[in-house]
Amino acid sequence: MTERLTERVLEESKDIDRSDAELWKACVSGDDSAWSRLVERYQRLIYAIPRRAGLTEEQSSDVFQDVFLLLFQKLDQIEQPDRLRSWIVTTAKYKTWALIRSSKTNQTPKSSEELETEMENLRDGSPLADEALIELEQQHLIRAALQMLEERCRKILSMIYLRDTVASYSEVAKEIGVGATSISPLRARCLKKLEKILRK
Amino acid sequence: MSQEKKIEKIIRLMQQDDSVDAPGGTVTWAKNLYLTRGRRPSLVRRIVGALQADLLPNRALVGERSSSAARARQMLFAAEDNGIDLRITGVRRKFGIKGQILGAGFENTPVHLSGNEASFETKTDESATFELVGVPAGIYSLTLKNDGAEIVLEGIDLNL
Repeated sequence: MTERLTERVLEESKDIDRSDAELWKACVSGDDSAWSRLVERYQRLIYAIPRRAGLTEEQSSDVFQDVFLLLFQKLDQIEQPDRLRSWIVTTAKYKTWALIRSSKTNQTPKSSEELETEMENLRDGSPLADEALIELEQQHLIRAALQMLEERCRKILSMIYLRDTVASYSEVAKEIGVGATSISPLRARCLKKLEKILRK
Repeated sequence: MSQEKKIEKIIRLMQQDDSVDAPGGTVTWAKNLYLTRGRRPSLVRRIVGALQADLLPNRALVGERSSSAARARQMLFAAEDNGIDLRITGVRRKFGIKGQILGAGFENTPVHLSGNEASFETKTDESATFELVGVPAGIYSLTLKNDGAEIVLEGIDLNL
């Protein structure tokens, strides 16, 4: 893991214990750093939804901005801040579908009911089907849970399993400062800890 | 599901996670939205908007790792209780401006764009958005009015 990535992980860990509802409450009461944490927390998940659905980087950036703009506008009206993640995912899904639809048919839906009916009829294999979005949410939760592990476990699991940092056991052992034969049992222990965090 | 099965699923999900960070400029834009959040209203009702972010397409922001991937130039202004998001596109020295006033009070209200060479009028819709098309290159002021306030955005440079 690079030094820069480690720094970033540590930075993100500072607010990992604050729930969405707590961050939202801080945002509403004027804490701009809480808003930044919310953006950081959800930027990857929101961007992943249009990208997974096949939209370009530009289109996905548009969806991303539309979702955050709407969230910002609705900040004072949110009634269930503990359900913020669901709201964000659903909004990104609708914005993505609206963009796909308008690029295919050059028409916008006549009403929000028409859009909802179309969304409900999406086939199971669609990247915007509920099953695919649940998987993206689960990956988001795993990334968040990784931040809650102690540094050594976080390094081990990130280096072994995440695509952007994938490394061999010997590379991990060198990074952690243990023998290569220790990595397998350490990995197993860290996975159990990760599962325990996700179970909460 | 047994713990073993759950761990297998976690591993599979981690290995299949191909998500990437959103472009740095786009993330910064989202963070800067908060700078437009309303402060307490002042007695002065002519409000000059302050530029908070100016995001040019495919150009890196200072200190950012990656460039914006957005198609339009985006400008974000703060003006007391309101924020103003402008998206500017240009084709052959003619520009289009799409804007939205964030915060309450500017639904169905007049919009005036004035420059040395030309001026334009339109109205915001129910979601406080507006659009102007065919604007020639130049430097403009944008004025947004409602019953109690006038927001002025000065020095909008449509040459970039």
